[in-house]
Amino acid sequence: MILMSQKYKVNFTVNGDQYERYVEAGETLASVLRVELGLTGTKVGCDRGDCGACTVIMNGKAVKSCIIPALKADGAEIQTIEGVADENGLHPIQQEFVELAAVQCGYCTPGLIMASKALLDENKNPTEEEVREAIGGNICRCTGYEKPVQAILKAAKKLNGECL
Amino acid sequence: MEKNLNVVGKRVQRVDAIDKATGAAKYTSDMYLPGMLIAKLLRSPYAHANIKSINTEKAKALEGVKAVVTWEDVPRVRYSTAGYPKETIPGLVPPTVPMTELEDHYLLDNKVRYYGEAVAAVVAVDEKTANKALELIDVEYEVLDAAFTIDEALAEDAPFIHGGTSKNVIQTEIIKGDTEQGFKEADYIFEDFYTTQGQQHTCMESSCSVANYEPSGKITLWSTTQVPYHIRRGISEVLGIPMSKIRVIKPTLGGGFGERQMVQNEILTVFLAQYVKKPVRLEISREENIALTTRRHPSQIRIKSGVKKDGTIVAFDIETKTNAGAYTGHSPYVTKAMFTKVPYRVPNVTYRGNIVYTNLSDSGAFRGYGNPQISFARECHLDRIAKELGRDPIEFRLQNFVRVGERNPLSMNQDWILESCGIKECFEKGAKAIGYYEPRKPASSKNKLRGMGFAVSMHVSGTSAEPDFSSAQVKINEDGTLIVLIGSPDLGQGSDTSHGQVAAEIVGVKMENVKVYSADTDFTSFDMGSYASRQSYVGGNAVRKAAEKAKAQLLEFAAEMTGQDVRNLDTADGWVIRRENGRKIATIEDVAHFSVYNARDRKFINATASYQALNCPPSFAVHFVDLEIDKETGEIEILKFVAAHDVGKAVNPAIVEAQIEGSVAQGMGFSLTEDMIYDKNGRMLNPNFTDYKVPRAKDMPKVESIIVEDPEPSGPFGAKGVGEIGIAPAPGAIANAIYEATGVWMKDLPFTKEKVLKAVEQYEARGAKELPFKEKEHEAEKSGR
Repeated sequence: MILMSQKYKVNFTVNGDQYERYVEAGETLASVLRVELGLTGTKVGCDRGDCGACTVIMNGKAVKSCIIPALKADGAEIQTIEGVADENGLHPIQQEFVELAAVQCGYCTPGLIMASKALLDENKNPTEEEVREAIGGNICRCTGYEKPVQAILKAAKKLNGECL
Repeated sequence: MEKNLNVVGKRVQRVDAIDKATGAAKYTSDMYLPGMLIAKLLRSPYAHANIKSINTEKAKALEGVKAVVTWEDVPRVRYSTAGYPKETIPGLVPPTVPMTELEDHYLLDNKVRYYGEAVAAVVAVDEKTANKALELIDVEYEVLDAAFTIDEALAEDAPFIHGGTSKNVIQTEIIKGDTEQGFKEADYIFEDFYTTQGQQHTCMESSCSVANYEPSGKITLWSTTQVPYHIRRGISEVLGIPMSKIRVIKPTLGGGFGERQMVQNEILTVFLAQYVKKPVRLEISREENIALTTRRHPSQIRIKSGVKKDGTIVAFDIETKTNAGAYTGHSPYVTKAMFTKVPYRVPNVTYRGNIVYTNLSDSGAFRGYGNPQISFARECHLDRIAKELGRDPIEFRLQNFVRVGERNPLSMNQDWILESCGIKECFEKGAKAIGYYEPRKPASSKNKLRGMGFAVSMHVSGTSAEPDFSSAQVKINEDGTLIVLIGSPDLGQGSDTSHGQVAAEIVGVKMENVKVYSADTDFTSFDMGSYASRQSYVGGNAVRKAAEKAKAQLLEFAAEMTGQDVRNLDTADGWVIRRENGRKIATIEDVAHFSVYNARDRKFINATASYQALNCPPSFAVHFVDLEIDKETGEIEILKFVAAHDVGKAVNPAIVEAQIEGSVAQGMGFSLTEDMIYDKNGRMLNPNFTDYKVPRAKDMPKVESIIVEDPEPSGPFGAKGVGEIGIAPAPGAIANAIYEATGVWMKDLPFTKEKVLKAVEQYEARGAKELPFKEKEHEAEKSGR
């Protein structure tokens, strides 16, 4: 007996690069990103959408890539943690996470940064409550959230400053 | 020492922060080796059963399956899941308990002792095939009676689960002074009984091992471990592979908290890789992680105190029963830890620890290591005594607190003296920050009750049962940059950064010129591992010594290069300077270059140092809580949380704060929402993040951390441990605040909404919250002498 499953063609953009891949029906976006594309910055902490470590931005929204079937990503524009820093260096959220020691074990960090980036992309001036809401689906077992929340708020201020 | 510090004490950037914030850091679970096979474990559907037969033929026949192994295939060698070397495994267990009850685990056995215990391992080309193969294994079980709670396992008709001093239990006793006499001297006697639940670490990176087999017989293992050297030894002992052929690497690690102080699946993964002669990866799922990896010991604690009229505590009689699960693991040491982590100068103490075996996966090391349980019981009990005696609870604690110059309470076989203690300052600053001595503010609405409370804890800086040990290496490259190698892993807490700071400060280079590596058994030097809050003090002292040696070598070359007397030279901030006036005379870069290219006797500056701990200085903490209870829902809202910690010296204040904030969050989870719930078959009912509720961003209040620095003379730059202590005071502080709000002592963790609602009902029924002190009930039995 050989376990063979049918594969389906999907096309998507990840961090600005076009990909064409053949995936199985049950394969998750997280798995394709990590195993197929080698983008292991996207972490899998629970594989059922509970912890947010796998958060990526898909078509402008933060999604949990461990419960998104890769087939659903057909035609999508995806940003992962690897695509957040650009030629000018770290994104302000990343800068503040580094600056304030909001990073400990770091396993949840990419997810926290992607969830908060999706927030700041939409809402340049969030309240602390809105920040905590935006990362409410992301579990961090190390920091107690204090420093990540401060980092995100500070990054928002920085982003606003640059817009002025 | 009173030189200006350039690196230590500063919020320097963590050495790993950029890699982690950009997704570049590689964890064990990010390792996908070419040709790597996937291993999966078949788990028992019974909590207690003999395996009568296992048929693996159908599984082996499945295309893509490379191996199916059972207990018949693995070496029949016992080992301890604690990972300690043989001579330290027994801890304080009475010598009547044979070693076979402590080294009580096989890679796979013909018997299962908890629901979900591994029965067989499958290795296949991919996960899907491995999972399919698991379904094709036929196991015939002879199901046995099981016991899951402390009371069930201690019942007369309980099934035999594990040997000890008697059936299913190891009883230990530690005695200090004469407790009987102490109670005779007491005017009042108080007694309380507390229970605590299991708690799971839930490291965000689930346990993962990747082993690579090379044709030469050499094995490389990447693992989510806190103890690479213990794992290397364990592989060698169980599989008979010489240590020289085993390399254990700890890549970036997604959390530890004690879970990875245990032997996880490392030895089995190496066995499988050797068996199939291919790279093998064994990663467990989140469900397996929450339900089956080691947990914090659920406990029952009875505490009895003898107190004099002036508030002096003269005797403690403490009995603990801990649910150890099916294997011994760390239980002997966790039991001991509950005895030693008492910061009060009580002359007469009888401690009875009962390690109780049940049909659950083994309990073990988890941040605090017994301290959260004992601190909760003790601090609630003492608060009650203070309140009933009409004493200020803070003054009552301080009256009985251990003093500098007295015996270090952590000493068991050593004559350690307490040389530093910042508890008074912790109390002063903490009380001020929360407004403890100010008139209480009213609740925010009629539907709320409000209260304030605090609790104290003391914790170790390294192992306290015996002097701790670490070693480190400092190299100076020809461009004057440093490489620090240390065998105790950074789990995420930031020890690599702190160690780098100590080395940079001593050698006199800038932090950006320091690289730190931990841990790789082929390249770093021997170390016990990362646990017992030992990094700052024990590891830090090893780094300090190595850096001092490297600096001495550097200065010799500087003297030769500049023609100056070495006794007049020092270093600072990248320069060799004149000791008397700080005048810069050469860059460290030039001296390092000189050492390998131009010196008379050329040499690469490289120093290794070992540190055997001279003490185990306790760190101290007080947590204050101001909270509100919703009378209708029982929900607790923490309005303010103040955590004051004496850390000796904060090598990196941002990292110290982060340790405090993170452990407060885990302490809040332990207090309010985290609980491991089992059905009648011993199957965990809530093994996922939906139902096992760790705090989320919206659950966490503002935590104000206060760093107190009472320098520890034996610590590197005065530093002591900080990693674990912050979880221990939280439950007691919250319970004591609930008492102030409701007049009800919460004695059973966690304080779920249901339990809090019951307290509110009692409060409502009574009308008045302060209960009068019933002196008669506590009078010592004078006639019973």
